[in-house]
Amino acid sequence: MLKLENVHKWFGSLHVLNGISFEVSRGQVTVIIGRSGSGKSTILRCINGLEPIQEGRIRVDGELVEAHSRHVHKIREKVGFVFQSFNLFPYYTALENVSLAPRIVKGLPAAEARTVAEQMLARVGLSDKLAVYPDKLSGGQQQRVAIARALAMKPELMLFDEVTSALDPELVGEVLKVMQDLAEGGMTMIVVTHEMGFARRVGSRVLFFHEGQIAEEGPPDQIFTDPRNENLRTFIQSIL
Amino acid sequence: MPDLFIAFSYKDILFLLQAALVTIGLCAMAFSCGLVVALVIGLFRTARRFPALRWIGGAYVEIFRGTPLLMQIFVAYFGLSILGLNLPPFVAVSIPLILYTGAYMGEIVRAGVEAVPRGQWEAGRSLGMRYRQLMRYVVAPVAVRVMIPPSVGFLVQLVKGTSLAYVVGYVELTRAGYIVSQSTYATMLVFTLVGAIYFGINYPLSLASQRLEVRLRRHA
Repeated sequence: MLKLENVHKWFGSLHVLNGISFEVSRGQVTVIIGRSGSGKSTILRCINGLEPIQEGRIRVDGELVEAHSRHVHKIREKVGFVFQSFNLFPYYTALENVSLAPRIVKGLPAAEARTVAEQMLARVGLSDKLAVYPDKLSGGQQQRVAIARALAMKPELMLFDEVTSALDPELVGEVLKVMQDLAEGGMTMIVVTHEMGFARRVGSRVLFFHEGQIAEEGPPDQIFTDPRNENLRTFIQSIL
Repeated sequence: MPDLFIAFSYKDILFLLQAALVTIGLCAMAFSCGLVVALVIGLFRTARRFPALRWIGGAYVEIFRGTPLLMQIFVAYFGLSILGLNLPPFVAVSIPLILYTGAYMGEIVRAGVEAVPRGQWEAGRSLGMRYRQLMRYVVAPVAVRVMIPPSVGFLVQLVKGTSLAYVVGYVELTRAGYIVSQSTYATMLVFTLVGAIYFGINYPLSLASQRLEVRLRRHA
């Protein structure tokens, strides 16, 4: 359902993505690991058109993703994005954060959007926080609202960009749990993360990004127990 | 001393109060129409991907902010009449006030829009929102809160700025004060009163803005 072909991106003279190609099929959980600056967050941002690419092709369900085109909105409706820094709308309650896009983008009637939002918040375990504003939620709760917000659009693909990196360690578990439930429910996901335990447990396969390229890819067990690429080996040693 | 005030009667006070209403009306008109101009200018100024629009917005702001309001009123009134356009004083005064408001408020709109963190835009975009939806539902709630204090500051400025309308003979509060002082010679008293009325218009504005600010700051 997602296909990247030879994707290149430059920030000025910096070649951040240097010929990335991979495919994601339905229900697959792709985990991307790598050092900071390896291009792993950038690739997610390109997949839903937040960043333009200079060469190559990205297709979602056969449709070309072009960052500034008119139909990129249509693709984004199908691709959920969860950010490292949550990015909840501060002046909306948890419920409103989740129901806003279904209401205004999909045009659902208010009551229906509300029902969807309640279901999604229940799914992330926050049924008791519907009327609460983001500033009164913990980081973990905010991130779960952000996941519910993306899910409320009924996406076919979910992108997670280091979603636990900004959290206190004791709050990481609750967010990973929600993501694991999602994966087990058959959601197609691409997860950029430093949580190697999660990558091993939940990932269908792992991509190791190094200097804008996929230096190695394979099933989690092989990647973590038998890394072939020299850089991957040092990377795994440095984080364990 | 008492002789000085003989000619000064409640009718004069009534006249001044009426003129104060004219000032308020002029302000309300200039501010609301100017806000429309400001919205356009502010959005032009923040159009990241359209340098031409940014340039137009920038040029507009620099011109109307960089020249005295008094001069703008002169140009609108005398300049346009030379061109054969004889505008009634109300219109001649309204146009420069609206354009002037557009420039200052345009900058406030720009600052408000720019105060919205990048992540908020991206969150809205990633949910499939179009530019207009993004502006209305994501950017505006944050931007408006940022804009309130400077907007009230400008509004107070505008209330005082309307006094320049007196140069083209438009009877607002300052002109009315001038007229009354001419007929009563109680210049000191009249202009103290006029000043007090201006203060009476502006102070409640500041108070209202402070209360609004506190109310809107919740959840920030």
